[in-house]
Amino acid sequence: MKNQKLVVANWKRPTIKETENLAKRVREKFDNFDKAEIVVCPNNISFLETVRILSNSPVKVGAQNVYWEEKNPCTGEIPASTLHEANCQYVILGHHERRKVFKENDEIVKAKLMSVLRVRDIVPIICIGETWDELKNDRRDFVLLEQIQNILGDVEVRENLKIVVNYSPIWAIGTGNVIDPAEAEYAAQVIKINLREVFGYKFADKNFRVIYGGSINSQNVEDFVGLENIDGFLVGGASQDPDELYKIAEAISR
Amino acid sequence: MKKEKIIIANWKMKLGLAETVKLTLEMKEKFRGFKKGKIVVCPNFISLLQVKKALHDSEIKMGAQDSFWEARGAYTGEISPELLIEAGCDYVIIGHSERRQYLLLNYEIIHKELRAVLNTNSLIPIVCIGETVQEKKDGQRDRVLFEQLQQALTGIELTENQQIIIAYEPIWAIGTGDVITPEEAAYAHKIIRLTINDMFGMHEANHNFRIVYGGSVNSENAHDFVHQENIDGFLVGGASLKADEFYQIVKIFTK
Repeated sequence: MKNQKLVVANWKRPTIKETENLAKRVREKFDNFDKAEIVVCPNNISFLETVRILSNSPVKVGAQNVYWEEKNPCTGEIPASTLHEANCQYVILGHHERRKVFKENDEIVKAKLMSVLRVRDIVPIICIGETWDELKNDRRDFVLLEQIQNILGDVEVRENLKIVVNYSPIWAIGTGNVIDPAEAEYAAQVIKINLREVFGYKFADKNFRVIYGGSINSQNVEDFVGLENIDGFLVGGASQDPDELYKIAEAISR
Repeated sequence: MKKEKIIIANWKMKLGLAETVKLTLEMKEKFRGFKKGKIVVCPNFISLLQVKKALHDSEIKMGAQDSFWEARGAYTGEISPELLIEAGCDYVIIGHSERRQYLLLNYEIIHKELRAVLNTNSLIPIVCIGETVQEKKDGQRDRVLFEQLQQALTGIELTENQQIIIAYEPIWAIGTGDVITPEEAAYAHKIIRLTINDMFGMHEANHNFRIVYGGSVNSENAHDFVHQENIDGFLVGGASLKADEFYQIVKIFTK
């Protein structure tokens, strides 16, 4: 059985009011939509309101970040248990903006992953991808392998474990450089091969999804449809328009 | 002119969502009609809107535990000062020692955060400074405080009524149960006061700045700090998680 396709909207930071309107419009747009799984990730202040607006709708709500510890507090951070209490169903880990600005490395992403898996019921979306230098020096495959091993190496396999790996080539984000869909497919395949190697064929295919994130919109989405190893998208800018988001979700679920 | 005392509750990430609302309502009840000082509670981001609602018709103000340094732009997972204002915050903690320690926040970034907060012209920043145990042992405290203030505040221009709160948190006394002697705290606050005088001039330093102490304050030791000069309030961690305990601290300090 094929896993259902996944479209994750990373809303980053519209205002509280804008987020509320956005959630309402998404709810309308995706009423009864069941062809793909849709997740929206609002800012933390808007989180509960977004959950409320989207309750009893097929659209799920995820968080943009989480802290790696429960016990030892860090002022300003949110632990996985609090996300769980807020009915959070997904969480983005190691987004490249955070890797860059907050020096989030694989070790931190791994610690975050472990704290998320401990509370269960929240599906982690792990962001990986190579830089321009790594691409030019022909190190992409190695970098992807290393990131997967660093972050996922120690994860214990369990029946209902669900993990999403998001491939975001850092050189293709906000730079104007567009990735060739065949290249994205190639990277997704490298990721899947690595996951099968770490977790075994059956488990990797059943419990992991690999999505692509990098300037996807309703114009270019067609080029990424029908690729064997791409199970969905992490959508940034375009996800703040419900019509765009809908077109993207329609396209991938064809 | 005597400054209004301010006592800030930093709930960190120690409370769940339901617990946060419950404690907010208890605090509201405790401080009904309280006029002897300013009370601020700082819940987690997810709880801000609920806390604001719970504080309707209350004297208690709300603050956030952190803020990102850019108003616009895409930074997954971060909250801008504009969002904090929209959520109803009046205060925001900047550069808490835990963030400096675990997230490697430095004073270059703290300076940027402070600027972004002051640019809103309505949020009041609570800027945290303080030395580590090693710096204290090495006799470096005065220099560390001076340097942190210089890095955080250099080039900042305040408008007439803009407020900044400096929170002195000796890192070795946070969440450890180790308490500083009141005289030692007063000494550190004096260093801070002198540095600010130097940077901003006496008038602005007196008019626009308050210095609060943060580090294992509780109802047992609060009264030791009452008569110390230059201590304008507290930033309270663990002891702010119980309405009774927090109320006792406030009562003692504002007597």
